[in-house]
Amino acid sequence: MSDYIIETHDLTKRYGNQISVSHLNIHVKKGRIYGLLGRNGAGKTTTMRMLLGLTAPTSGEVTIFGKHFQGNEKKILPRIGCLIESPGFYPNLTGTENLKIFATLRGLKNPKYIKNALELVNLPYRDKKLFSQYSLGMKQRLAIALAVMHNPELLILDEPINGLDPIGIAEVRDFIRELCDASGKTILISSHILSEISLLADDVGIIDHGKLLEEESLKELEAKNAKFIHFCVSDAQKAAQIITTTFSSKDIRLADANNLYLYNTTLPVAKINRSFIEAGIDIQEAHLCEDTLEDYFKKITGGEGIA
Amino acid sequence: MVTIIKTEFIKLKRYFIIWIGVSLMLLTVLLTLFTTMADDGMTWDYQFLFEQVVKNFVTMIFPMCITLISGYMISREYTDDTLKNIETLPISFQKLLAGKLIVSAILSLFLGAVCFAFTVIANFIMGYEGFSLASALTGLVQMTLLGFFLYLTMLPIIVLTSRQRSSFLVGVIVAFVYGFIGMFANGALESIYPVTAALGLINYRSGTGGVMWNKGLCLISVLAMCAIGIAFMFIKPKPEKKEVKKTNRPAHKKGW
Repeated sequence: MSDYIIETHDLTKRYGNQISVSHLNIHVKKGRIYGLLGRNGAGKTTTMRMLLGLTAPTSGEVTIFGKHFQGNEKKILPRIGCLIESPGFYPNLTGTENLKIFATLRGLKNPKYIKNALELVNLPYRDKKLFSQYSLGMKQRLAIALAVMHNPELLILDEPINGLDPIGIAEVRDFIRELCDASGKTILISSHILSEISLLADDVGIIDHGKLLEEESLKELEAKNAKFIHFCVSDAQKAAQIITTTFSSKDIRLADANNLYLYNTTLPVAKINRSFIEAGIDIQEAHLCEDTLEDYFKKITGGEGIA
Repeated sequence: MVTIIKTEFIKLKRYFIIWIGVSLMLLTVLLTLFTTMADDGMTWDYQFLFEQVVKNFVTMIFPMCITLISGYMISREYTDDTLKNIETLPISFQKLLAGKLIVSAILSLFLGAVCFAFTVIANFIMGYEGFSLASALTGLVQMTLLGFFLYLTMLPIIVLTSRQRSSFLVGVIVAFVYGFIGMFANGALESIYPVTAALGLINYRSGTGGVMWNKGLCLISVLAMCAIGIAFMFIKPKPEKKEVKKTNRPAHKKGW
């Protein structure tokens, strides 16, 4: 049996001539947080909708808990908690009444399920406030409460921090992390906010124009990020010559007349600095730099950055 | 199914559409009272008032009213974006729809009873004669059942317009026309046309108004509509289309 909780094989979704998701192969490991990262319209939500059976794939296959999704929906879906797109609830009912509907439909008779779920997201139990009077942040919290209410093994959360204030974001982040670490839940989370994925995910899948460009653990991705020494000097041309001749390294890039980048970070920086000074080159700055995940994202998507 | 029905009733809490239904039942009676002002030499009593209310109920208000309420109850799952939460439980749309249709059937009985209650109140206000406990009981049963039978005849419209958000408004218009045409059904057609066939099933003006109902035909007509409605539930929905935001085209420059 596969070690993956979610596995897709060439998952594709086409709307007419438009391809939303193309031959997607994602692998979500048990007990880990998988961050699906991509710009708006990259195909994250369509992918999640296909994983939950809300949208039928044009081709390809989804395997969840080692079972083919199609034909096993009734066995698989009760083990999943989800939040897809915006929170959808009945505006004429309170938060508790809304959760009561879904608890009843799930066969959860004990009110403690509702109470615990609301407590987890810091929403009051049996409050009189109607859903229509909720703020966007409260709506999002209620949607998270609905996703976790039945204690599912797998959580599929589409942009769960949308609409939350900074404190709320931090709370939800901690809460998701705890669900994974303490309860061993597997979590698939999507976001267009790179910093969130880098703070939360164990594994990252980068999706762009419906295609999965990269799928690796966050650690591997970070290791892939380029490290370099940035010199800001009075004569970058002369400095480059010294590195090439004295230190036998051609792994350099001349940005302009004053800025030089050295990609071989194993060279002795102190000795290089001394050589520069001896050659009459003034050094304004010398830093050890590292590309961010955003730089990496830009590099592999071949475009602009992400929030 | 019992659970779905139970939750459907929770969803109706504080829901304005029920009050619209009650208001429309009041309108049925008020519309009838309005016609009493006509100087046509008619002598009004309880029985005549009841018959006139039933006529307006069948041909003017109820088909449109029950289609509106049922349509709203179904459509809200799209507009409130709750369908995704239900489908991932998982509960199929068909099962949910079946639950909603059962609740709508119960509401049709309720609205029939409400309309009867308004008729009795109107009778007391107007001071018409001929009201008795026996006639009240008969009237209550007749109007309540009439609501239910009319609902059954509207099932195909309700189900057919339930597949897309807001398309139920088209259904409301169709239901109104469908009910209104009933006003012109005569003779044998009265027992065949589903809306008027519902009247046959409650014995409306049987004998006294010279109406001879073919009960068998009436029953077949109403049940046929109900069966068509149920059959429509199994039609596969159209393949989904991705929602595309309309982009505003730049306006053409006019003149020089």
